[in-house]
Amino acid sequence: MTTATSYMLEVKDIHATIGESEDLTQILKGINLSVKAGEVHAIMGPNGSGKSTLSKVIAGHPDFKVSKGEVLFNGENILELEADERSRKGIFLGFQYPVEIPGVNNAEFLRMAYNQRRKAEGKEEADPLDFEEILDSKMKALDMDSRYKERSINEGFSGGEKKRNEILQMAILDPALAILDETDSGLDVDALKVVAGGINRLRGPGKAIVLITHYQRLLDYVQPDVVHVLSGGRIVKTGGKDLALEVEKQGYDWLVK
Amino acid sequence: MSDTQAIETKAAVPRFMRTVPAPLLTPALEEAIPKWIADGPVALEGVREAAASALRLTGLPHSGSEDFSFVRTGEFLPHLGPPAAAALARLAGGLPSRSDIERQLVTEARESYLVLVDGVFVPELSKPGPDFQVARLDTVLPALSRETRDAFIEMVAGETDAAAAMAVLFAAEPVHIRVAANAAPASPLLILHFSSGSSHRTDAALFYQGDTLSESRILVRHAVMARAQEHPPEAGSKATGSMQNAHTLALLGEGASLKFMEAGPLQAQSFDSEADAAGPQAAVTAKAIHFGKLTVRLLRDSRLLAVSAHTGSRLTRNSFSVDLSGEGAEAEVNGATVLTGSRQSHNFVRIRHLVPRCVSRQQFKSVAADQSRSSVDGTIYVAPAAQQTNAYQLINNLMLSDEARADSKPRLMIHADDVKCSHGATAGKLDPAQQFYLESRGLPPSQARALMTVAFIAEVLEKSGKTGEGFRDGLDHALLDSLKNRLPAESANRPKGGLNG
Ligand SMILES: Nc1ncnc2c1ncn2[C@@H]1O[C@H](COP(=O)(O)OP(=O)(O)OP(=O)(O)O)[C@@H](O)[C@H]1O
Ligand SMILES: [Mg+2]
Repeated sequence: MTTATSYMLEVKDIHATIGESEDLTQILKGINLSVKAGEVHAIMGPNGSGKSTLSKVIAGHPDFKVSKGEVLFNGENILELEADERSRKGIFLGFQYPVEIPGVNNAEFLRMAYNQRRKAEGKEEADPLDFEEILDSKMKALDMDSRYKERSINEGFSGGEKKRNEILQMAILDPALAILDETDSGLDVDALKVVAGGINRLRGPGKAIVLITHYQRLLDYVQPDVVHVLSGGRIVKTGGKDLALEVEKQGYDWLVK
Repeated sequence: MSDTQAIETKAAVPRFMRTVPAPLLTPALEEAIPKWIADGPVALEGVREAAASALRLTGLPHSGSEDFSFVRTGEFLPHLGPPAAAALARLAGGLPSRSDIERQLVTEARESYLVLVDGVFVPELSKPGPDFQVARLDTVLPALSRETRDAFIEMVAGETDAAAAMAVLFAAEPVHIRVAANAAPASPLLILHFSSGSSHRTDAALFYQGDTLSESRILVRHAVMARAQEHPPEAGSKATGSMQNAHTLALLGEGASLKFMEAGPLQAQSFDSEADAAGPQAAVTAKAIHFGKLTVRLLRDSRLLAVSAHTGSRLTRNSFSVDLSGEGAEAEVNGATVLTGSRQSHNFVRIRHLVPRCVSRQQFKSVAADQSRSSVDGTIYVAPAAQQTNAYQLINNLMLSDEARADSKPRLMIHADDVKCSHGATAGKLDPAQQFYLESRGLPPSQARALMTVAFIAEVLEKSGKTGEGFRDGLDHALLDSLKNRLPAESANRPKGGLNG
């Protein structure tokens, strides 16, 4: 699909706002970001700088309006596509705050999502038993108890369990591009290792991963190729993995001022 | 039709003259009743007299009837006349085919079902299983204990709902179902109400008797016979579609338990233009009027769980009347309604706590899409003697369109002081954050919305518990289907102001 030199994700001069007229707030003020297949990028930045907003704009959240710029996925401008269409093209967003959906069974939802993905790829729906097997193996790899299958999506899940469930969904959908918004926060040491393992399993030549994080901790397990610092709706610094170490040591002040 | 004219005359009486509503019947009805009772089986005389007296007291509904505050009486009044000519001829509309029946069977009740056609019990198509004693009421009534007979007749005589009184009065062959003391049938009894569509109204009456410490489950489904479409409505009838009018009375003995699950018309289509695409059955169902009533009297320590679920019709009205008449009795009445197109569904609930230490719970969830209308009108009455009553009622409405309408009227009438009673009503829309979450995993907006909608009512359906599982699966599918293509194509990506749970 893509040649080795072309980008999987290109965010070009994205300006995004939320709200209407008087309440309109400019959050993203010209973001540029290019990610190649096979790469892992990390995005760091102070609270409220616009990291989650960027991830939602790429995933197609309706609350944010793009006033300027483009988002290309494998060369195609996806801003006109609905969130579900973007997902079926292979974009995955791991939420900073996964939503609880009481009454919707977790396993059933995963099967529906999986089948939608297959349909988009021109494949037949998976046999429910085959899917069960896939699900069981992915859950096992993430050290998840099978009772999570019976539960409603994220309902009553602890913070860490929710994050693990996000990674499970990612593993099932096997996206080309995974944007993981603070998937590491709220995880204990063991859970962090498990989740990092899940992320590393996705890693590969055809895959791109964008990790939004506040901590170096995750980056010890999932080594990034590029690190960006986002502040005030702009990317203020881009560097190698050392940049993350520097941020950890010195904070953001030296970059922002 | 003469009865329609009479009703129109009555409606013309100015309001102030009707401060005490005149319990009016139409001349045609007045004329038909004595003849109907005299010509019927002798054994049924008492029951029919009781129903007739209730009907005379109640009168036909009019625009001011409390029982129909959310229902336009003009929609169904033309159906409330004497029984139709077709209904008088037993099974004139023919019988359902084997495949009609097969389609309705649920796994857990394949060996235990009753078939009624236009309200008439058809033993040769039924298979009640060993633990449910099923017979025409007239054949068993003389043999029932005096107590039981009196209780049933009292329940009939106390009826305040005209349509329900009519169901008992005009049901050609009321059916009696009995579960003996201490018996606990292994499978539920499935009651299939088939409509042939050949009559402007069909009346059905079921008398359930759960003896001391009996324990049983009843599933009720309403269906239309495939050949129903061949029968045009009776000549001269002003009514479009037909009215199915069914009344179930249950008498629960000491310590008896009954789980009663009813699926009203469940079809994956909308009333009107799309109906044709969904097939003739769908078209008939959509046009139909369904009136259902469940009247239960609970004796000491008995238990009732009722779950009613449906997708509405041109007009559906479900009425529940529950008397907690023995200490320690518990009743739970739940409803789930999913409406699309211009369908309507109205629930009317009256729970009466007559003695101390009883518990009642109600939860009604309604989903209203398109231009549909739903209502829940529920009253909990606590008699002065009914101390230590514990009662609650919850009504939740999910609005999927701005043109849909849902009315809630929860009410408490408490005449005792040592009670715990609560009620509440909510109305909301789908949560856009949940919708985005589902869509971000690749589910199209319509599927996401259907899933959330089913989740909304799942809480009620789940009350049918393990026993209703197969039944519930069928419901889930019907509800999902009815929604999938019907939900407004509103996507999370196209924000509309004010979406908030
Ligand atoms: N729905 C919203 N309504 C109003 N303001 C919003 C909304 N969503 C985000 N914002 C604002 O946009 C800014 C960026 O928020 P965003 O969530 O993208 O920050 P972040 O970088 O992810 O922060 P954190 O590290 O705390 O997760 C913040 O000032 C926030 O208050
Ligand atoms: Mg954030």
